[in-house]
Amino acid sequence: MDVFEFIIYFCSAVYSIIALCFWYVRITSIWPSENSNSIKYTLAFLPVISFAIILYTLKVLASFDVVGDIIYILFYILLGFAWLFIGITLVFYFFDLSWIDDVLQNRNKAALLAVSGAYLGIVIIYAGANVGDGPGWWCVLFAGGLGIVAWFIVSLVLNKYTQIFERITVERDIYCGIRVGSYFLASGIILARASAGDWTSFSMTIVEFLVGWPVLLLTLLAVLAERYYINAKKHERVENNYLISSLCLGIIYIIFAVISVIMYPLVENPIYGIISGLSGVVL
Amino acid sequence: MSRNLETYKIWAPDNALWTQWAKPVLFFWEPGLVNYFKLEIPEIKWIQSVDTHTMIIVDLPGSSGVSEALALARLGYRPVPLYNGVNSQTESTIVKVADIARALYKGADELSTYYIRSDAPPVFMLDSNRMSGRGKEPGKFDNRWCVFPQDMPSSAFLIRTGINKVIVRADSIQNDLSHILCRYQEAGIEIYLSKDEEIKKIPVVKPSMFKSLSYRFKTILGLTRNAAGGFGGHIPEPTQSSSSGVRYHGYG
Repeated sequence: MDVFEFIIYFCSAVYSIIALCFWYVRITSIWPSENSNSIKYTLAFLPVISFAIILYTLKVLASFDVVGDIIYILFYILLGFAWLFIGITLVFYFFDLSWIDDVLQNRNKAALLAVSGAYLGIVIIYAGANVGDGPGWWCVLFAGGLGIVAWFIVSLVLNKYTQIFERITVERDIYCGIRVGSYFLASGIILARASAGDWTSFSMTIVEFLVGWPVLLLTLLAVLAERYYINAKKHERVENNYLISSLCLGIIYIIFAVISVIMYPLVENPIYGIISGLSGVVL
Repeated sequence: MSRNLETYKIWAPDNALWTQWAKPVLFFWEPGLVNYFKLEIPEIKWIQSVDTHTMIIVDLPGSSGVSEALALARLGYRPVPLYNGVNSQTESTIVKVADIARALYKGADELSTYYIRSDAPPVFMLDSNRMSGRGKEPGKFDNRWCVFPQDMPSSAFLIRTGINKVIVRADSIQNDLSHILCRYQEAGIEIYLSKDEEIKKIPVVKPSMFKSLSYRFKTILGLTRNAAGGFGGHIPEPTQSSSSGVRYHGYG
């Protein structure tokens, strides 16, 4: 581990620990606490599931020099949490979706679903960027960075045509929250696959990232679905129940994402086989 | 049930339609000297009776907003406290909210004697001093706060509940409130301003950053959040000054 890696390690550790403490202090200090158990438990569970996703990726799918090294596994976990909490702050900045204001203080269940989807989407993109062999942490940040930038862009495009964020935070439309939360997660899965793979070069990473093109189809599908719901709501005098159709649509988004990932299985980089073979001979 | 929760439940009963927008911030801690606080509920002349199609926003300074809301509650409106600045016992508090907290506690006894329907039209209560004073001043308790569109019902919700008119009881429309009123106006809800005894219809001018996704983030950056909810926190004293800037305790 070089000096720069150590600095990243230290900064990630400090930031992650502070952000995690802040997260749980906020959740436990919610008052009055009655009728808010679903919010509290969901938010409390998100860092746990994120930890499990990152740990599984690092132990099973990450670079050959990381999977067996506890120091590096811890390094990438801390980096992942720093990534996650910065991502959640950016979600507030770009999407006007706040886990503190909307979820905890306004007890907006629609926002809870959307924030949960966004949280998991960000984690999965980071986990995807860790899949495959690579020479260092900057490969993870570069590949994951492509994924997260694309994720923000497609979500903003979706909002441009359907005002999803206003409908979630101001109108507190819980069905929109279900669909958007699922969309965040599904687009995260597709872009995680696009960010995954063995490292060759910056330009090749960009080329390989293009396997994430199904996210455009998913976004188009989501735009059409949301336009349908906007038009349906305009013509109703009493609020209809869209729970079943929203849940089904959410499942369709996830299935679509899984199929997109299966469509492009990861290809082993032959260079790494040669390198590991050579290092085995040398050792 | 603790006294603060009990008082909060009087202002925000579970069965009321508008409770989901009530803010509990001023009910966290019971303020001192409640028994010595004098709360006078005025006779209201600018509105005669409850109108189920009208929502009222009381944006008056200090405890006068609570008094006015209680007077409207007597007519049949449902008061909904939206005060979001934390009450600090220190002298250095930027927005003085202790009297509002006392009025809420004192007024709870009065409110509990009124009959208000669960679907009664709402009176949202704001403090017009919420953004007064200089913010982030070292050594001060910065509890300035803003109201955002997320803190009040959407225009679609109001229309669904039959509300087509909003009366703002204030001297003027503050910038943060205009973000909400402009949304209502766009949806066809009529906006009126009530100053003294007169009520007149007003056009709400579109504020800067209207419907901008980063508006709330940027506004909150200039305020100080409280860990327990709402806004309020001590701004650290500078330890030293230099030509390059000011250093604060705990931040290097």
